[in-house]
Amino acid sequence: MAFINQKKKEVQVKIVYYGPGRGGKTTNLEYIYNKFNHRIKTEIVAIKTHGDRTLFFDFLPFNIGKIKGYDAKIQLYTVPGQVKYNATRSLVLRGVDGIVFVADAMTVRQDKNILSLENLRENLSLYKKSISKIPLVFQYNKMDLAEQGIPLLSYETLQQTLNSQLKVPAFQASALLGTNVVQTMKKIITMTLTSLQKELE
Amino acid sequence: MTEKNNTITNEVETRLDELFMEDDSAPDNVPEEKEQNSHKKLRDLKAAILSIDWEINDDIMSSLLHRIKALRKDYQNDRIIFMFLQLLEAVGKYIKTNKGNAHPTSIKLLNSMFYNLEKVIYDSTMPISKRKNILKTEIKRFKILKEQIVGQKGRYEIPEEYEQKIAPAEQEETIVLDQEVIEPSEPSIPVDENTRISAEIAAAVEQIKSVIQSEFNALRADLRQWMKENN
Repeated sequence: MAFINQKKKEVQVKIVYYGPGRGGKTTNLEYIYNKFNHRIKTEIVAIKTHGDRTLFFDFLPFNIGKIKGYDAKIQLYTVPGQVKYNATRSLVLRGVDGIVFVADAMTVRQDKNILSLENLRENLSLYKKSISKIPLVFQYNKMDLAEQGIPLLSYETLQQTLNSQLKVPAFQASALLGTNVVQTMKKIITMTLTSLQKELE
Repeated sequence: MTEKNNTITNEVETRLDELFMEDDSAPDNVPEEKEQNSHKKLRDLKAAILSIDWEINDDIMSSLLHRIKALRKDYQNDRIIFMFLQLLEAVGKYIKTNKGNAHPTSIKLLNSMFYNLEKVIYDSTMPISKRKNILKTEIKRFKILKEQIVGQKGRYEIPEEYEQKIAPAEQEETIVLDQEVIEPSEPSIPVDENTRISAEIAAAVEQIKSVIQSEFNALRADLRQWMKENN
């Protein structure tokens, strides 16, 4: 649940980038940071393993100014995608307000996407949250790999596999090149803050 | 969607469009790209420093030193930042050698040095005098740590090879900060200084020995005198 300080007129929302390992969650945050750090004036915090994999989480906080008279503070988190770090993933989800599911569009990663989405559903249920009720956006990442001849799942297949029941917004993206990275982030922030409409009235 | 929802949605969208407009953001020119690369390396270094709180092992420390080395290349023409990196490297090597037995202040110092390095790098408007002062403060802290380590040798053992390892022989120039001249070998624990300190300690021990001896001689004389009187 978002932290809303009525006295200070502050609202703090937590958005988590979830998905299978090596799917591009950290790359999303890095792109946003590298592209806009001169405007959002913040720092990204990343704790990585020796092999540059996310060990705990990445964290990018920034303010977007006043919304409905409240100072809106956004916190973007990633989770470690590797299966063995489920305890950490579950912990990072505590208090989450919105989720970006970064799916890997490579054909060979189809099963990993499905497993990770199922894992998200389970971990949310630990906090009595439902994947069908929380603000959620899909990002089908690595679309740029098509140019290198790497077999990718089509948008339709990804939608069918992951989003046929949830029917939430989805973007084809390349986190490496920045394609639709910002659009994904804007969408989830908008959906999340809109979901807090009542509390902000 | 209700009208109210539309209002907040529009407000958020407008705000986000203003903040994350992509057309006029950082142009992809070469110097900026280079700066971004260095900033990325700095963030990687921060991650390595933060992970020391988590665990100190060879992998983490090697990664930290590797990242410092990469930054040193980028900032070889900025003497203040270069010195900061040398200090970080010296402390990093000391921690790598001693791991859990490292002097507790060394980890605090590593964090404080990095915090100030970040300030110096990110604040491009910072006057040179302020940059120098920040560096001087860290050098002072480094010297205090060296003294503490030397003073407690045994408890926080400095391996002999450490002194050889951390001497930054790569730097050829002398760095002048205002009136203070910092020799290239500053961020190490110089052997000469250790020798001087050892000599001072040895002299002090000799002095104490001689005082104790003279006190014992006086006591023995008193005792002999007292025995004579009682016999």
